Amino acid sequence: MTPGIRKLALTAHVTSTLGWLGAVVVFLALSVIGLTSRDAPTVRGVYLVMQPAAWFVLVPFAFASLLTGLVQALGTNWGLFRHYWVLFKLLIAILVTIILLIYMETFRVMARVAADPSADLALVRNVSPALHAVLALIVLLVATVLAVYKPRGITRYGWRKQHEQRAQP
Amino acid sequence: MMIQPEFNPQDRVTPMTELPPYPGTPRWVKVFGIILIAVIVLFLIVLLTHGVHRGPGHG
Repeated sequence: MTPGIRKLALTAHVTSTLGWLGAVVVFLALSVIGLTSRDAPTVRGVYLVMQPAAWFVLVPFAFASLLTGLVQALGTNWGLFRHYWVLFKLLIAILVTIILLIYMETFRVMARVAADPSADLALVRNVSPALHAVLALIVLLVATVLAVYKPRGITRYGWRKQHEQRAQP
Repeated sequence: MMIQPEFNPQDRVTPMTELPPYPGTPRWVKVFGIILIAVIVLFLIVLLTHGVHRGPGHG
């Protein structure tokens, strides 16, 4: 990659990852509103809006972060399997994206319950989104710390590749 | 009279191409790996025991 494209790819990766993190914070705020608000339309509205908001914001940001991360790793000398911190970031992104996709079904069920006017408000309220948002926030912050600090540690594959590159005239 | 040492192909050293010993896996990687495996196992247990959705009003 040329330096210009590399910077563009890095900007796209940082933007999508921080966008994902910001979206999770918004979902945490929505979850807290859903659990604490005394206004019934607000509580129902929170659980109704979560499903489309997740499809339009969380899922695209998750895939954008994963995709730009792959481009960033494969297009630079960092590689995908050479450094442990890159490998852990990849695993974290894949794991959180899979959990998010599975959780979309929960968003759908919660929206259906919230849309039912006969459903009691206690049934509409759900602690699960808050719990998932907190866990997602912790995991994404760990990934951010790994990206910023880049802790030392090279894989066996990375060690071999590094030596091969040094041995080349 | 000079005594020529016997040639042994295994004695040949090629320092430029020989891979130096791997320095080992750092401690933080081991700790991270254990935590990650524990999280995945926990997630699979929750998924298999409770299913995708527990229903409204539950955690």
